[in-house]
Amino acid sequence: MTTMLAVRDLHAGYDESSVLQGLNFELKKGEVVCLLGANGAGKTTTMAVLSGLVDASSGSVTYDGQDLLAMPSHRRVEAGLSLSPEGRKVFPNLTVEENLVLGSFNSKARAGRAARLEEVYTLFPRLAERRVQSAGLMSGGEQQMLALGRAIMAKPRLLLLDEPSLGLAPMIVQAVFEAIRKIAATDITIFLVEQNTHAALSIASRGYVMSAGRIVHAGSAAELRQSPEVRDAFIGGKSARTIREARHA
Amino acid sequence: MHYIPQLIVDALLLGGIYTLMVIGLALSFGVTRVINFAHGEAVMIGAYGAYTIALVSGIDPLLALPLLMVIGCLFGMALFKVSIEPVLKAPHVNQILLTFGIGLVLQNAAVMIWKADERSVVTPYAYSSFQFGEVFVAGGRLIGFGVALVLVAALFFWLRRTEFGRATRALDEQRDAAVLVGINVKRMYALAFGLSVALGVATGVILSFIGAISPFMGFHILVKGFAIIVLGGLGSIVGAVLGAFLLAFAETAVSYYVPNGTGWAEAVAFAVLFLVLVLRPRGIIGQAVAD
Repeated sequence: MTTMLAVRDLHAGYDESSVLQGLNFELKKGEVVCLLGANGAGKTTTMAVLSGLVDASSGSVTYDGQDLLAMPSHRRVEAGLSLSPEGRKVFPNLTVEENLVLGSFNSKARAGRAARLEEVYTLFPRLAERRVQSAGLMSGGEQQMLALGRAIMAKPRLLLLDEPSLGLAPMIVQAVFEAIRKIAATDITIFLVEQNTHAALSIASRGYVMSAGRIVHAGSAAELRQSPEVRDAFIGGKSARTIREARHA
Repeated sequence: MHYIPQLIVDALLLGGIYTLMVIGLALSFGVTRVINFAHGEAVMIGAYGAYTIALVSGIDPLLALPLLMVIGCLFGMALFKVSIEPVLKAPHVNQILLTFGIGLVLQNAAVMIWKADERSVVTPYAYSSFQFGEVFVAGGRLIGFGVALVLVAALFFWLRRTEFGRATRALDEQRDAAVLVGINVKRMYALAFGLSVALGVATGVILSFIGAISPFMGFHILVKGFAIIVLGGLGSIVGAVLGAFLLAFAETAVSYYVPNGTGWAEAVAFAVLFLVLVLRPRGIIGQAVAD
């Protein structure tokens, strides 16, 4: 498999505080990979740097052979990199359909927009029922479906999903992950940030564990499911680093 | 004495023109979050553009309107790229001083070019008037209202139905998500600013034939614009329309019912600014604006 994304020694942060402190990882074409970690580990910052919302301070990111950090955000979307952000960030006063149509604003995605809209409506029949409703008036689960649908409308080759299960009822989480599974079955590469380890590992083939701005552990989904690092990191509420230090002591 | 139908008609006609005057200001603020203190000067330049074209070639302001709007839009986009784009991340006070300074430069350039005297464009329709029952309607105001209505409707159509209009609303609502769907934010900023200048220019063209124009008219227009925006709530285009009609009704009522009211009507905008900012800082249909 060819490499889709290669992140090398990435540093980034906000003003004085640095969040990413030498991040390294890789994604191959067609993979579903998850990024796990406790609150504040730097998962969302990673997504923000990849999509261009936050600038990197050093390091490199190669996407499909191109220097990603040199591309402005809208070029990244054109090149097939699409993020469904943490907290959904739908356009609240626009209708569901307007939100989706905006998803294919980039010049590469406008052709075939109508067909993709139908695909999204097939994937999420709920959105089809609500197409003329203001997005801000929908439930959290529906907004999550909308954010996912909007990201797919961009015709992505690499789909970044930031906490799609955040704040959703277990049944809705199941429905959302079922949809992600269907998206993964097309040839879209998926990089998934989650705190819901169980759900993430149910669809990812492998994953990384992040702590304090670095990758501290990597492995296949099966390994990570068994791994005490992962289990303790989330269930015990301790950071992965604390646990690693404890094990080495 | 005056009576109610006349007051309503006058206020409506004025409100339409005020809507056009303020909607550009609301558009550029909603998208770029920079308050353009030179918007009044865009109106003033539009008025003098129409005046100069009429003087030199005899072309009617209404015929010159499309050309002046295109020039205004291009000028606005260029001005944005050169001056405002570099200070987008600067503190608000820097942005305010910058646009205020641009306004001063334009105002003084106008004094040098056209002198400080008041002028106006005389058109066949400017001083005509119609009578419907007991209500008198000035031809110039009616035509100005009609043009304003068409342009405001065109803006709403653009915002609702076109690719870039939709992107403009998206940017107004949720900037991060607009970036994430691939909207070239800086280009949209420049476009929104250009359109807002074009709408200001159009307002000036209308004012050139319904009243007197002077290089100093911009400040007065800006204060009215702020009063309207503050009434409607900062950052809401629909609110701006509502605010425009509220101010128009308040001014017209004062000029009708207060002795020597025509002079006092001009103070209504100041009074409104004062009262709303003290009593209801989020505007009548209040909506908080981030940052």
